[in-house]
Amino acid sequence: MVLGNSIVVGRGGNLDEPPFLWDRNPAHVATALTGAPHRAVGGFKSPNNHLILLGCEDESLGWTGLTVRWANQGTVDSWASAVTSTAGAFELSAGSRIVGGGWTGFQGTVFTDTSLSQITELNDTEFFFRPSTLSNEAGLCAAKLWCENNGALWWLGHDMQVRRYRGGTPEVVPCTVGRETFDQTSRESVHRGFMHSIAAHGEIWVWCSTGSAQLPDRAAVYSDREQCWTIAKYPRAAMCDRSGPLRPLAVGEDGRLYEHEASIIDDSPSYPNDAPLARPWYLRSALVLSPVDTIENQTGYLVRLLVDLERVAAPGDEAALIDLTMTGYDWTMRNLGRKKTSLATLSSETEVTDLRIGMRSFELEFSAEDKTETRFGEIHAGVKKSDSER
Amino acid sequence: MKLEFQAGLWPDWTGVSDPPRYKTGYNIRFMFGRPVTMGILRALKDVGGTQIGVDVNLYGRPNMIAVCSRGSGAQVLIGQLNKLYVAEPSVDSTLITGTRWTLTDIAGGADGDQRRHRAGPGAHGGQQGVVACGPG
Repeated sequence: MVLGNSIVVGRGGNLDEPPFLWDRNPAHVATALTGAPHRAVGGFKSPNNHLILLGCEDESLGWTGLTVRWANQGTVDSWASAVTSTAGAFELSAGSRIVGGGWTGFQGTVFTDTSLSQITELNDTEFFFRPSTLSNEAGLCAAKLWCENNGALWWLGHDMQVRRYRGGTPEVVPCTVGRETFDQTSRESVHRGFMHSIAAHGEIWVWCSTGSAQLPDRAAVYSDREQCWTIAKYPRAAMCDRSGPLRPLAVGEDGRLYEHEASIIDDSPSYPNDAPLARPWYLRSALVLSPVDTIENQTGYLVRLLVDLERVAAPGDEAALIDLTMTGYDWTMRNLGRKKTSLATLSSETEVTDLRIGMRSFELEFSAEDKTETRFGEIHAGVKKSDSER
Repeated sequence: MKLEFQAGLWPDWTGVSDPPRYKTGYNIRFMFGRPVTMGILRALKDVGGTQIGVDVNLYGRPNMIAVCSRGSGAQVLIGQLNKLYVAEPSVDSTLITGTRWTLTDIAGGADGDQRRHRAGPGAHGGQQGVVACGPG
């Protein structure tokens, strides 16, 4: 490999300094790559052993924000272009600055603030690499808000739309949870967001900051298998996936390290010494209307609720309960001033709850803070007309 | 009656004739159309059983975690605003304890040194030797 056993890491913020090289020996510290261009915003290694930096200073033009520059083949410190060297550079033509990129299934992939470009290996003796624009409506929002999963590129654009590229034209993936995630992100904090996949579940996690602390505290999660969105809420400063049976790793905003998805229900073993931590979860249904002829004129009674669920508890958490809240509204909308609420708890197996709420529409809420995996099955509700004898 | 909820979270009630939906929630994923709780987690610990972590008060918030696999064992890079650490599985791990980790500062120097690190858009290309170059 071009870098042998070494790793290149860079500082950010358009700083006037080169990236750093570390030889993967914990006894050694990382050292600045003398001679490498400054101000890179990203980088990767091509399969033909070129170290490529994105958005760095050009040899003659200085910093333009659009420079793609690579070192002599098989080296990390030989950047001067010469007849005897394969080092070189070019400027992208679309956009005003490179935001990020990496080597993906689409070869070199570079996002600017307005476009998506591809860098193709030529393996010739003259140009070495060739840029081409894949899309001009596909700017990247922030350096880490993209990932590759399932043969596609995923990223968050400046318009707060998640896009997917599988060849052809990038597609917008409509988001149903934007109001609780992206829409609360400020321009000041959007650069702290990041995106990664959870390959074991076929998901894309898009982290964003929604609080005044401007730290990532929740992720909009898109399931590429179920084609639907959910929300993950954890205060995580950074997170990454590990492929195969290995679980994702994360750093909390307090600096502590966690392993996620240490679950039982997905067939990965959880040993007692795994010592899972409790985490909160919550699920609320939309309104359920009572099956009466004219909803406006008749009320219904929710008299029984049958919830089919399966729980697999971590050791010591077998007695965990699920809080169930059933709320009835006296109209077909959530008019909070005119409601009745009934509380119950669900334990380990299929549960029947008897109650009596007379209203026009109903909603269900499930929540807990536990170390238990819960899978919900079918939900049956016994609803009858008011004053019915049956 | 059977409540057939549609998978996924939806912003709001969209119409009387629409089927029931799950409206809001968190730490729930959908598998085969059914809700399943997500995200059981655990702490990464050192040999003594203490959760490992980096100092955010001295070196700023973490902004990168990247797994770099190699034949002799994985290395996990943790980049902070002003520091770079590597976490490795400890050789003192046992079947009883599970994997325990050691955390090493590889930025070197004191705070303010030129070798302070702010690791960048990591997690891409880790298999190829280059982890990251650029801003976080």
